[in-house]
Amino acid sequence: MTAKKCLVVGDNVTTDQIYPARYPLSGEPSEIARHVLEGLDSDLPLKIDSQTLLVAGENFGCGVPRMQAAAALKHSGITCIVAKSASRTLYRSAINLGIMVIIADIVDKVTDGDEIEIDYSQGKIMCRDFIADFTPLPDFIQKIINAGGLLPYIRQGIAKK
Amino acid sequence: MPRRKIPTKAELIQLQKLYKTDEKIAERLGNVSPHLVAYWRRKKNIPKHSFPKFSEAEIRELWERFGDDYRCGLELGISKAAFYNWRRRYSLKEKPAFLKLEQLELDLGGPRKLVGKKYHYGRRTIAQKILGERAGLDKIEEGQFITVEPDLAMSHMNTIEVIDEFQKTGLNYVWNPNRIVIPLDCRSPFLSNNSTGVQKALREFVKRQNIKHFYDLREGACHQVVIEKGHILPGQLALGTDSHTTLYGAIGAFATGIDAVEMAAVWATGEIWLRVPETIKIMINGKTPRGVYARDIILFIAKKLTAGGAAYKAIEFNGSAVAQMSISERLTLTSMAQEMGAKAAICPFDSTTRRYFVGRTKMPYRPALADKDAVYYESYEFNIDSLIPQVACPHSIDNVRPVAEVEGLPVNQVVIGSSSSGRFDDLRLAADIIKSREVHPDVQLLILPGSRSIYLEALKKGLIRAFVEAGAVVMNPQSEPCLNGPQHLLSDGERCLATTCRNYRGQMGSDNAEIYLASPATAAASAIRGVITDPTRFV
Repeated sequence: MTAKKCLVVGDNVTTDQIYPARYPLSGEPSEIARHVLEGLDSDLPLKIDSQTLLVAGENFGCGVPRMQAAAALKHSGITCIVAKSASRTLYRSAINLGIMVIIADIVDKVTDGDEIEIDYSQGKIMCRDFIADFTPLPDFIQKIINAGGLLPYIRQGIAKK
Repeated sequence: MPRRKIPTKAELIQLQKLYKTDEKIAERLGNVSPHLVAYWRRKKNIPKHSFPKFSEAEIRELWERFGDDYRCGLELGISKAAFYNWRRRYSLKEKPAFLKLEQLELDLGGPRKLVGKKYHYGRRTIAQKILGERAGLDKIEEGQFITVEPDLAMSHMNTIEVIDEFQKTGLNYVWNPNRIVIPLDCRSPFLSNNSTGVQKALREFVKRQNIKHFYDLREGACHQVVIEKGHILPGQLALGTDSHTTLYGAIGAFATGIDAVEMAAVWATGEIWLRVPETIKIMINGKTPRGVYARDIILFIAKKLTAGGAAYKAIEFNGSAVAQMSISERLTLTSMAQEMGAKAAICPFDSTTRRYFVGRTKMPYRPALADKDAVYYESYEFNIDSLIPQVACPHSIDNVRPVAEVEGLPVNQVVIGSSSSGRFDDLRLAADIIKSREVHPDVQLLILPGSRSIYLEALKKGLIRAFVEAGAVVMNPQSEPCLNGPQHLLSDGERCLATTCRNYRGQMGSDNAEIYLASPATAAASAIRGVITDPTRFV
């Protein structure tokens, strides 16, 4: 449970805005991270670091299903996204890459730079002036995220055997 | 010679009841030809004896086994009312006195056993039932996360990405080579820069892993091949590395798309997590008017539901119009459901589905049907009695208008076929319109049969000849337009009318080209006139 700084984006953010299609599909993580969310605002990539918590509105990651969007978010250091709703492909890809995705409606209650604490196991989002609830993700999803993604999680399982 | 006594009508009916055929009756009467018996019958207006479709022994056995009209009807592929009529006919009115083993709903097969509990929790949709059974849970709620083992793991061209990810796990062998199906299809022949090396690596991997269900380029569009070969059966769970995997729902399966990393995890462990979706019920009632096809119906529905209207939900198609549809029409419905954001789209199992699988598979399967009191997230009802042909205009699937509104717009390219509409019925529909006509000189008409067997059947029935004579380009079986292939790239300002699934900007080349989506009939009529045309006057 650590405090994170909010970065608020609006409704209907498309995969193309998260990682514009004109950039290469694969490459150096740092290179990919430089373009994350560039489709919304070209200054945004500079503001994002590992302490950033992305707060989004409805239908985050809609548009053409594209795995690179989730990969770009991961490479930029984002570890948690709170969205009112998220597209299925982005939701799955993000979790499978080790990014926590929480479905909760807090987008109207916070502004850029607000500090937020999240209790994953209890399902509580705590900010200065409000507490929001969400349904906590089941244990095995949290294990996947703690392992850093689905494949690392499987590798751990194999190693244990 | 003594005068032969002609039997009365009552006598003849009595004889027929006892001896059934004319030959036997003639034998009984002695010294009479069967033709004479037939003549008497005709004169006395007695129909020829016909054996009933289901014998008394068959109906009795089923009735004693299940003691329930609905379950018995399911076995024979008829409705419960029809079964009730059959058993009335054989005067089976009482419930069977003894319960048989099957009535206890013991589940003696399948990967995980659920003894005696399966039907105790009602109110479940098809999606919940299939997922619940695979997860080994008897109570399952929407939004719940479950871990399931799929019955089928399909990956097409992007198998090479899956192999890359799979090798990162450090495992040597895949979980179950018999449940993995790899039909190569999209982007065929391979177009990436190091294409030959990719193909070679893929084929070697398949051999090493002993994956039997590998279909090379010759077979055709991936989804069509999987369904034709009976790799997915009603009530099963399929995962595919393609967003249009939802298509398999047409035969009553739960099918959804996942990405390459997740498929690698399935290959490694045989398991994947899924979130149980809410279900939207869509009732389609009425009689299809002339010139209107499944494509027009689903476009009309997409307009009402909008492009993201079913996001992360499962769709159940129901109603009298769906019951009358063939499997190929249902495939059109379910392939387009993905464009509304749906995770899965299912047409319930019925006699049409049962007939489709006769001779196609030897594997037993257990269809899943929704409970009567199943809880749906939303319900929609559509009446198609007065529907007119529809077309999806650029650049969104829900920008749907009646064809009449855009009639007269010139087109440069018409595409009929691919995995969404490349079935034999679709091709025949187009061929009937195109036959003995000429494709407009300004139009390139591309025909993409869905699979090798469809291509062969079209050859046999003369459809391919009709297409080529009219001036169409018949291509190898594939579903390429959905992946931006090279043969049909559009330039700035060009307009294409296609029977594919997507009309995003830039889907077929230039960002400034326009893609319209419509039924094969509309596409064929437009190819002839060179402008978008309502097909009603051609059919």
